[in-house]
Amino acid sequence: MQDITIGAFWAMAGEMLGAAFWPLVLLIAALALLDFVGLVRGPKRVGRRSWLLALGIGAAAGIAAMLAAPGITQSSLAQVVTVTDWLFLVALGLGVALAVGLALVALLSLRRATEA
Amino acid sequence: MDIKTLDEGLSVAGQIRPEEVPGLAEAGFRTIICNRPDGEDPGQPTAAEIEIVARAAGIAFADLPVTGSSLTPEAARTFAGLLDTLPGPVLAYCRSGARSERLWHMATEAAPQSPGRRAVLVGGATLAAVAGLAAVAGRPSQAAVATRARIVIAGGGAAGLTVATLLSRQLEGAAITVIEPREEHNYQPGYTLVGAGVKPADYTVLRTADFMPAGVTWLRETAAAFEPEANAVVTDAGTRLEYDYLVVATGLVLDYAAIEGMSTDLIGQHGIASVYAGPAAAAASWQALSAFADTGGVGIFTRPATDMKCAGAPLKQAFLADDHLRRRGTRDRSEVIYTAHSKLLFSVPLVTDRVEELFVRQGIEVRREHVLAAIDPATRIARFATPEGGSAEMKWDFINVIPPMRAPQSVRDSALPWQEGRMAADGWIEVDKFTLRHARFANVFGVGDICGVPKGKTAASVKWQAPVAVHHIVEEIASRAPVMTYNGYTSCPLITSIGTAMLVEFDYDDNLVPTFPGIDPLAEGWLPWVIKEVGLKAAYTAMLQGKA
Ligand SMILES: Cc1cc2nc3c(=O)[nH]c(=O)nc-3n(C[C@H](O)[C@H](O)[C@H](O)COP(=O)(O)OP(=O)(O)OC[C@H]3O[C@@H](n4cnc5c(N)ncnc54)[C@H](O)[C@@H]3O)c2cc1C
Repeated sequence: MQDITIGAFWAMAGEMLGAAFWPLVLLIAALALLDFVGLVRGPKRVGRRSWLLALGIGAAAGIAAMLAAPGITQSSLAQVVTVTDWLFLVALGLGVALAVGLALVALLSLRRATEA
Repeated sequence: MDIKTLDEGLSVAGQIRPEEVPGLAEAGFRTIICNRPDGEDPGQPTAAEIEIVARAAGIAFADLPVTGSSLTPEAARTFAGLLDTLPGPVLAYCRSGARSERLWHMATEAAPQSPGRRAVLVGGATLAAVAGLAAVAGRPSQAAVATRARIVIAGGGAAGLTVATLLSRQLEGAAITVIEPREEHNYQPGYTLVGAGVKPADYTVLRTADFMPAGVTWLRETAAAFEPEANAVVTDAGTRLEYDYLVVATGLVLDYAAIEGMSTDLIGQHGIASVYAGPAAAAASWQALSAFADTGGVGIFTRPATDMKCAGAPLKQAFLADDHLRRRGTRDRSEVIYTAHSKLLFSVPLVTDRVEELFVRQGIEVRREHVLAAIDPATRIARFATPEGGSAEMKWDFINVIPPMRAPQSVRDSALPWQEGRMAADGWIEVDKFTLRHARFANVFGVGDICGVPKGKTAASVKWQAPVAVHHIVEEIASRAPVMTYNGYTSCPLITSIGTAMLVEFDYDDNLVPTFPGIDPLAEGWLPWVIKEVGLKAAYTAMLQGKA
């Protein structure tokens, strides 16, 4: 391995995902855009309860991702043992939680806008 | 040889011979331009032959062949561009020197009034020429180096394909030929996963065609004879390929026949497993392992005495079998025995210590200095050679056979292998361990498993070897001093159970050289497993395409 650059990582992701690579990139880009909208509009247009609901669903999605990830790789949660394993898993969970939560906030803010 | 001086920077001559080139260097010429097409006369030295000697003598070389009908203004502009940028003094030659002189007249007539003839004319030079010039002048350049060198790559596996990809990118106009008989390309690091029931056999099956770079000639033949003294390779079909550079990337052969009673037909039967023989053998090995895990019994995991590719694989397979027995509830009525060829379990002391510790934890027994010599499938008895000519027999319910590994016969029959020492017996080629350049044939390089170097028989090593060999070839063609070296980097994700691994990476000096900060090479964990199970194949195919 050695010297994993961003370019190399991108190429490897492309190899790993094959035909699903570009659709997935588009999906992530759309999600990132939604997250951005959520961050910008959310604080003003979304009420506290909706925020909590969105972040709650996001957190649930993050935990689900953390529980599912080892199994998807034919491992198990019991085999997540080192500090680095846990950091990786938590980072994954946090990423999913934030992405889903903020996307929901954005959707809620857009709904408010159309209702108004 | 008559040399006619046209101005302070340019002289012309008739056909020169390779043996005259060192004298030209002594006379102070720093560049030679060939204006003569190959094959005009019988016995005429080719441009490539002159180029090789010129570069060896430290003289830059450019090839601009012209005939009467191709003495065009375009050719004159290209010639002027070469003169402007190549180091002088320059000697241009053709059959008599007349075409070179005519080119010079046309070039100077085209821009008589310019303040700096060469500076003006360089703009008209062809892209390839300019690319070549930048390279020859020693300036850092991303542009491909222009050359007509003939490069033969013997073997189109992990190493051969990676080298072909890198060379085809870095050279412009080179004739690159890959000799590779197989249409199917196998992702061999996946065999262990297939043999453990983690992946299906087709996970390891790829197509050579999908990774053969454009512009490279793929000769679907086998290199049957290497003649480094004559700069030639002869194939099984009788094709004779002459080269300016040769890259030997044939990998190694599995010598199952060296184990009495063993043949690849037996894999999957009589409790015999051996994933090394290919995807089908790996799948059959999984059938044998799975049946053994159901019943339990004595499982033996062998390791040959020769150098081998992925020396961690025998250890991984013992760990994986242990895991399957535990999962099926048959471990307590089983013995898992690892037969080490030497006193050590692995060549790197720190890794050996760690594996010893894990073997004790898992209850895996070790028989040291036991090398599998014979098997009897009917009685399931294996005979091992032990020190001082001794032997020992063991009965198996399951046996994982890893055959001795050697250089292919055609390599062994040539002058390429080490002539003495530990590497000589199995025919590994005698390359410098840092530059991968052959010790006796300077235009020959080795990449991959075939190299007679102390470490490096893994695909991950190829990732680091290929750029080094390619760099040395390209820099030599461009008359620059090569700087890259290979440090022996070898990587082996050592699987310790289904779901955990250790990302063991080391160099020639047995230093652990982790890629990822935070991943302890000697700690079992999930992340190294993810890298092996999910990331490694992607990294491998990206490497073949020069992307990673
Ligand atoms: C079970 C197993 C597990 C492994 N695990 C790992 C791992 O976890 N990590 C890792 O990095 N590496 C691993 N490897 C090692 C890795 O696969 C090899 O080191 C790598 O493939 C070497 O590349 P190569 O090009 O030298 O040889 P190969 O990939 O074997 O290619 C050699 C090619 O040369 C061709 N050839 C042979 N003779 C001739 C001839 N005379 N003329 C023309 N062509 C010829 C062959 O057809 C073949 O295509 C593993 C290997 C095995 C078998």
